[in-house]
Amino acid sequence: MANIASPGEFALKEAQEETRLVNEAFFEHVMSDDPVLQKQAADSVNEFTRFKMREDGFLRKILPPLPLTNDELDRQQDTDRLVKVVDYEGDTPAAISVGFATLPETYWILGRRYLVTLSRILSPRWTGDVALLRTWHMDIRQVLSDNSLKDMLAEEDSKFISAVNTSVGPVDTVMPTTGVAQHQSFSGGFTRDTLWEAEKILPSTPSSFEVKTVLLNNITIKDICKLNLIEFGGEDLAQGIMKNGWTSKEFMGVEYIITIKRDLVPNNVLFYFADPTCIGKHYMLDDTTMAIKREFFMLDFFNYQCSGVTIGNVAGVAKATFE
Amino acid sequence: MAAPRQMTTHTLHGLKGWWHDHSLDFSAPLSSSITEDVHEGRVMSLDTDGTLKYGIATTDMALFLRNASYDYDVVNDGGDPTTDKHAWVSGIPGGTGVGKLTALVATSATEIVSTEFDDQQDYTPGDTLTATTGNKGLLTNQSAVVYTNPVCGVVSRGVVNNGHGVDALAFWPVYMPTAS
Repeated sequence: MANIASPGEFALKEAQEETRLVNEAFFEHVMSDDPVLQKQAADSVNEFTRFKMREDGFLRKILPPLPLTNDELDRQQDTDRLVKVVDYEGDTPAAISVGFATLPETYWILGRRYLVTLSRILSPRWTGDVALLRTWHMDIRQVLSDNSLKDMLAEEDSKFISAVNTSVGPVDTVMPTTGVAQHQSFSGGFTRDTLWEAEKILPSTPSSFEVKTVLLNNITIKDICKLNLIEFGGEDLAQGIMKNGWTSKEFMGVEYIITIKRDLVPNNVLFYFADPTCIGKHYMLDDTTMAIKREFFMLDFFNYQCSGVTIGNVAGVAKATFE
Repeated sequence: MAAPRQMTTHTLHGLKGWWHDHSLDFSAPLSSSITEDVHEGRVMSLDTDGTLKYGIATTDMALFLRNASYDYDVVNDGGDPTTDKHAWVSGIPGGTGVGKLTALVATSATEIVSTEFDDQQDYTPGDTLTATTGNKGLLTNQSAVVYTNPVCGVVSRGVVNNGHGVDALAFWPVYMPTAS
């Protein structure tokens, strides 16, 4: 009887063959003396890397990067560093009701601004002999990209969370800008009540922002899955979770982003974010780019990008710790 | 109102040997004990926390700052949100104490020109140089005796123009520690 491959085996062999062809093409391009072909090799890795950055980083989901061009940068007198000046929406005093024969108080037209400054993020530099990469069975682009991707994302997400933690301040401490404690603790663990109480933090500030996005880690979500039938509001969600695990992108009317970076987003902590336009700016001057250099048989590569992130409005972020 | 700062006043450049693909440099954050602005060109070294402190002592490796603590690729200080109403908070590059400064290392094969030197002294080629915590990392040929004081440089061309009309000291960085 002929040895017929099962559909799964066939798919695997097809994927392996495709990977082999991709790797061969990549090697030919990288080893070529033609700079056009070398650039094509770099471009294919860049495409792969940028896709993964979008999928795997939470900063880019909460505050999507806005492309910036040279003519959009704001020159400064005392530095050649890269700066973008951003205007705040003006605060206006309230209107009043008055009797006749009077005119309103006068306020000087003035506005606040904040800065987004840019710097470079670099991945570690990897080097090696091309000959020793020939026997990789994995997609070589993934090998090259993943090695530096984790480091780029770790730096982006880490710095963002550090800024968020600074913005919300210490736990249960009223912040001067909002007059509200933007980092609050809730005892009793995860219940319908504590989850809704936590979602009140952002709209409780004078800015009254509604929550658009919640960030939590992959362990915390499992504690939320323990809500009972009544707390979930019925069988559909409760049964679905018991059967399939957590599959929703949205919960309580907002987007839930689940991360495995528990060093940045600890257990029992939820971060709340308003719409990106109410938080600040994330500018990207040079999107993640892989620099690849081949000299004789030695391959050298690293990732770099030029970007800046500022939380211009600290009222756009909040944090809840569930005890 | 203070006079405006010019970006050419405090500089450190590599006259020779820098920049190339594999230049030796080092990046680290500033020590939290330093709260004032630190200019490009100052001589720093690592403390036990791995942060940058002024000057060198005994076996410290001299690190010559390539950027200033107030450069916008190092810090974007929007105030302290716990005390300042309407403060903003930078994620990238970060607020005070977060960003890293980059420095050329004393053992790098370079000739450096720096505006951050004690301009009350005369410098001749061959003079040895040091920089202490007390003088906030300013290069000087005073108390820079080989094997007695830690030495971080040897004067090459003397005091020259930094390329922008400002006096700067040209030297080769060296690593010459002392035992105590």
